[in-house]
Amino acid sequence: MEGILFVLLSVLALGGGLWVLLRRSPVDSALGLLTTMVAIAGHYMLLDAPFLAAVQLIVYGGAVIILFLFVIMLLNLRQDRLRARRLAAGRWVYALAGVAVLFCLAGIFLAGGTSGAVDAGPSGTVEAFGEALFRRWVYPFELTSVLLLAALVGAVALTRHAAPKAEDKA
Amino acid sequence: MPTLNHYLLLAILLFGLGVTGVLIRRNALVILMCVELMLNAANLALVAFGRSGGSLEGQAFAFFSMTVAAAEVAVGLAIVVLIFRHSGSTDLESIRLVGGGAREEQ
Amino acid sequence: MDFSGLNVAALLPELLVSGGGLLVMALHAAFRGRQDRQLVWVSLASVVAALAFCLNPLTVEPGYFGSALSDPMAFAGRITVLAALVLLLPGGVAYARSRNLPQAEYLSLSLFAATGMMALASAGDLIVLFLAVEVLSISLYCLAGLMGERESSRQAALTYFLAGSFASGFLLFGMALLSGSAGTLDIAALGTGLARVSGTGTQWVALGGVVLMIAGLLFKVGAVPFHSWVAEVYSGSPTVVTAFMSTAAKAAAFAGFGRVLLALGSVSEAWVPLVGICAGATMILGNFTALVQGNFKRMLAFSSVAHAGYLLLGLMAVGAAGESLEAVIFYLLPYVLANAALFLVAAKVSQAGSGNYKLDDYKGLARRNPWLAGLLALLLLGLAGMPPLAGFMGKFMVFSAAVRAGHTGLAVLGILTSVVAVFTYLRPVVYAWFHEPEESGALNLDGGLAFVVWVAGAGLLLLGLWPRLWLDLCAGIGV
Repeated sequence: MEGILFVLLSVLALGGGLWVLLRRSPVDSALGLLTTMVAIAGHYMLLDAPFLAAVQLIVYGGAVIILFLFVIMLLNLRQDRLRARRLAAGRWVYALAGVAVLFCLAGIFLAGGTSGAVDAGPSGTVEAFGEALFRRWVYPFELTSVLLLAALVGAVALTRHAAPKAEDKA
Repeated sequence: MPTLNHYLLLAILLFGLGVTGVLIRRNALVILMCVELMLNAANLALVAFGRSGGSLEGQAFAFFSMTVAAAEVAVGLAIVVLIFRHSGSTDLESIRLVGGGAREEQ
Repeated sequence: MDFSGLNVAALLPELLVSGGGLLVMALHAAFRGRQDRQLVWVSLASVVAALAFCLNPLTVEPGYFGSALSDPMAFAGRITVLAALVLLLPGGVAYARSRNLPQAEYLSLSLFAATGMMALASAGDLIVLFLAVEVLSISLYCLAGLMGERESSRQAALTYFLAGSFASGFLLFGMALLSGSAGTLDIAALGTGLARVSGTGTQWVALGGVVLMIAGLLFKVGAVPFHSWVAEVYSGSPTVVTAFMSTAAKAAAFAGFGRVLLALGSVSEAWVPLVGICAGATMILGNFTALVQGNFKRMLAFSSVAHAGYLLLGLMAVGAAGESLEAVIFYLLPYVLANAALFLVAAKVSQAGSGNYKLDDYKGLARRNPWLAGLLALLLLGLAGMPPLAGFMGKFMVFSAAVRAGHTGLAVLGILTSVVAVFTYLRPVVYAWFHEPEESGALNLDGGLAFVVWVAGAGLLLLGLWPRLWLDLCAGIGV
């Protein structure tokens, strides 16, 4: 049962990833990304991390994807969609580089790979996770607040001065 | 029954997809999505390792990296919106075309 | 609940600086932006308070269950970042005023970025390391785009963001593979964790992680072959932001990098060739590209690439041969002082001249302001590594550490490229002293800039003559 679910979710995750890469329209890419995110949330359930699965759905499925779609709609990217080429000219070299990274990493596995089952750890329930988060990992938690504050201030500062001046258009 | 190797292989494939996407796509928004793929792949590897190593460390790391990804997307989209307002495009090459030569300003 | 491992005092410098950033925003909102001129004093007060607490004995114990360290590296990193802030904030605010940058946002984002940098220098585990890198990167992306109405600034923000987040992906995936196979997130324990899996298949996964992580870090410090973003970002960003990126951010990144490589000393044969090739290529490319620039800002940008090469050489010695981080720690402070002051001088001279950082602006500077021309020469020669200035001691220590660690070839390459660097740095000096001015009239410095230039010059001289002062201070802190 778990094996079937694993294969199903993996196919969904990789298919979504390919969709992001290959579709011309950014909206389609965003939906592909959503598929991958949801599939990975399913993997977290399989890995007995229910809290993380919920956070994955809320943060990625909820916030991040919606933000992407919102910006795509806001910018009304139709002209971009109509451009003939979706890939950068001469980017096949880079595609090869990306695939090479992939093969190098996969080669690591052919060379050995790990030898671990994935049912040893404690369950990532809300209680267990909260204990870890607010004791051992309280410093990263505090640092995260600075991170979010900086992102907030920065995003507002960047987009506040809205109207482009005339000479920029020229 | 999937093992740690299966999860790592999936993570590596997803990471490779993300890297390839960043390198070949021209649209700044799609590049940002591919970066998200890379971060998600890393999160999956972290959780799988944590589960096999018997601690919540991996999950804690994945949790924090989700926060980072959210903040990164917020700032990245703000920059994309800023660029779009001036150049009318999110395509890296047309942005550069609009930009043209003189980059040396005060 | 057990609070014995917490020791909040270990984080006081970070708390003060981030609190300062928060206060700046709160005051900006409370006075509706009418009192923005006073905000720089609030920021400086928080920075000076943080400096004082770095020297406080309370902070020498590690805190937060080992996540926040207080060793010499952390101390030196924090002091270096705070010193850069003290130099850059007053000049930066003057720059912001003259170019219509939002002052409150500039100040608070700088302070948030500095929080990330200090956390990076003192990170005890990989989670904090990653978060600290992100805090500083995200703040810097926004700072780079702060002059949003200029095309160059927008382009710099986009390039910096795309390159930086791509690098973050590599960094995080590498950390996942490495920490997963070593079974620990504690940076200092990575070595023993790796020793446990050596000889098994997991070893290869760990090595893959090491390579990816180092690639991510090389990207962040702008070393060859991951340097392509540097020129555009450094020349396009507002000059005070460029100064911040190339000084404090670089120092913090090298502190974190050093910590990681120190822990990975047991697998040094895996990464030393990699880092060595990058260090050599960075020294050559950075110095020769800097040599041919006709633009002072771009010249400084490429010279900072070159300095990244020397610092990488210092780090290689650390990881490989059990050398201490002393050489790298010493190299950073004079580099930061000189670079910060030079960027501010560049902004001033350019504003008074062509407005786009041409080297020709420096022609005849000695006639217009001999003190400034003299200090310019002092700072540039300090960067070039002329004795008795501190840059010389820094380079000397790095090269001798490299020789002791068996990297003689790279050390020789470093010395040869340093000779090239001397020509790069001498050009503005020759222009300033031996050319006729294109414009007449004195070029007067305002109080803030004069303070920065004099402090940086005095620092270079002092550190060059008595290097032990700074090293002993660092060594005396923590364990």
